[in-house]
Amino acid sequence: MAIVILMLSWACPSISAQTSTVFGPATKFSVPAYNSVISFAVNGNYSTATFDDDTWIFTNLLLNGSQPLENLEISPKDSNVTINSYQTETFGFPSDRLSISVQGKGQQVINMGIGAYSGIDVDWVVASNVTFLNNGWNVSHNGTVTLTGLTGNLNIIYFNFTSQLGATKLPFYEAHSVAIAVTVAVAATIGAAVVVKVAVRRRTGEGELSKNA
Amino acid sequence: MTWQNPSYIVLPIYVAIVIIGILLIYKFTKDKTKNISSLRLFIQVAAVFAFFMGLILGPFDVPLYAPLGISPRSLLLGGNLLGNQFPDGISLPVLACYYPNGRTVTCPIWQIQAYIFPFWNYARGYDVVYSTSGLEKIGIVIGLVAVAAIIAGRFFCGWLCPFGLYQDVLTRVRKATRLKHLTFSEKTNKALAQSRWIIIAVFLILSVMFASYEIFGHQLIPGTTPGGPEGTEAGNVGFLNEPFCLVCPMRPLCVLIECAIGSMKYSYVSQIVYGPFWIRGGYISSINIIILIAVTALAFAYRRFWCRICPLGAMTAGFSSYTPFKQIAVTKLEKDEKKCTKCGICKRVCPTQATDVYEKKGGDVTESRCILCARCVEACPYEDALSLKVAGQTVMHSRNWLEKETP
Repeated sequence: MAIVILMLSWACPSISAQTSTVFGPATKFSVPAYNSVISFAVNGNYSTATFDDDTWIFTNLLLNGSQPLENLEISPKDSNVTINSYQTETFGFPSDRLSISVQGKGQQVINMGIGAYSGIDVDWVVASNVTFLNNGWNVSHNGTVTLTGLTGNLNIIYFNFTSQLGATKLPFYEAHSVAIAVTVAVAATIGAAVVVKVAVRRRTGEGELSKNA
Repeated sequence: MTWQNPSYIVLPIYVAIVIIGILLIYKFTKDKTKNISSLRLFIQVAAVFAFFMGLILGPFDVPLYAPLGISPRSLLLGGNLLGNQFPDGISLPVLACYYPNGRTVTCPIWQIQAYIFPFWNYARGYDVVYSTSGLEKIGIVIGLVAVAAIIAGRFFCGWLCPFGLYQDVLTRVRKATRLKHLTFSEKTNKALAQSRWIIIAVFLILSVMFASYEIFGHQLIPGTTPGGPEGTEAGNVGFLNEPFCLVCPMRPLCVLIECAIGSMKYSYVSQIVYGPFWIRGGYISSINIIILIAVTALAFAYRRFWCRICPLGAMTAGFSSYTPFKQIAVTKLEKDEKKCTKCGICKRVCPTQATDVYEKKGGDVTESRCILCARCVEACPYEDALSLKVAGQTVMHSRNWLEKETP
């Protein structure tokens, strides 16, 4: 028995350390220096919530009806932020989407722990309801999104294109079979067209000769 | 609207209807000056259904954004014909957008512009996992267009292109109102034909400039976002990079079809809008609409106006009407000079005002402006003076319609 317990504790070292704190819509996380408050739209739980450098850092955050988010750092300034949901899409355009509501034209600095700069800026989109926004937000290379002056319901979406690189490790002729087939088709078409051209010319020539005769 | 299991029985039914329709037209069209036009109209309509068949049969239950729902293209009939290496539909020289046709066939202009952008080197959802680079895909597009053009030339424009059908319908409406069509001077018509190459050059250069941030690491056009001008779909979404599509007159019609059959919610068109008025829009822009209105007015007055400046038509002609491809083109319009009386009917009825059919002294009279619609063949009153030949075999020829056939 002792051996089993020993093995379990070796295999699952973090289980005993994990405790979750439950919260509800009434729970507030204030940022006094920035005159701001963070709240959640629904019930949920998290492992830890720490306040550091005017930023709230939640770990293993799980909102009811949402997918778990391992890490969320959020620092609102002169505004109140309500976190509505966090969803991940695995079909269609695979994406991570954080839905928030902002009251007050301030600034919000948000890091979901995803989307560190991958070389493709187009991975990130901020939408007001369903309209992609041109202005009022930017993203840094470590995946920190800064919203400025935006209010209302906002969706912060990360498409994560670069993790879906389509390069396969197939042999060359399999990985490029369409290009090879099209090249062969072009060559065959040109070859066949030349043969037809010659045949038609020969037939027409013979026809002209027989007419003249 | 969801069909998880496409009903493949529609395909043989469709083929049967097309064959029966062609036979009925062949059998019952008595007027020799209209029989080819009737056949062509039927094939044009059938082609529209064929191109958009993937959309009619496919499942549409995969919204990008839950409140909106757009037309996802995966799992559609005929979809992904060429696998992961080339999953966006086979390139055919017809104006039929990628979105509505469900990956059956796709406009090569869109493909070339899109594949310039490095984004298309990556997988990007909807079950699409590219295993080829953008440049390789551009090579495949050009190869497919070359094969299609060598075999059929601008037959695609005359008989299959949905936008050609739209213009022909406008011509029929004009005729019904007894208004006479207008004609361009020969000089203007030639200039319009030459402008096609300028249009191609402009949209290729713009494609590279829009994609410059991703290709070169910095924007060549100051003040633009990685995808294109701020305020456009390209500029906002970033990864959509198709300058020609922003002005293409066919795009609104494709959206109309898509909304009409329920595969796209109108809200996607009406709600995702951004940008200043001159380029306001999302999936379709105000430029698309303005150009469609202008082209509609011009095509109403001038037959097949768009075909005279169509860059896709120019690409097709490039592989069928210019040396060295002209010499080996399989589908040709030929003229027997001995039987021609220079009556000029062929020149008058040509919807694109092509002149070689009248001016050239016999032989192959196909030119880059000729859309192989065979209207001249149909209208020519001299037996065998004009003929449409495929691989040297006559498939259509002019008939003496001046004298009535004896029973």
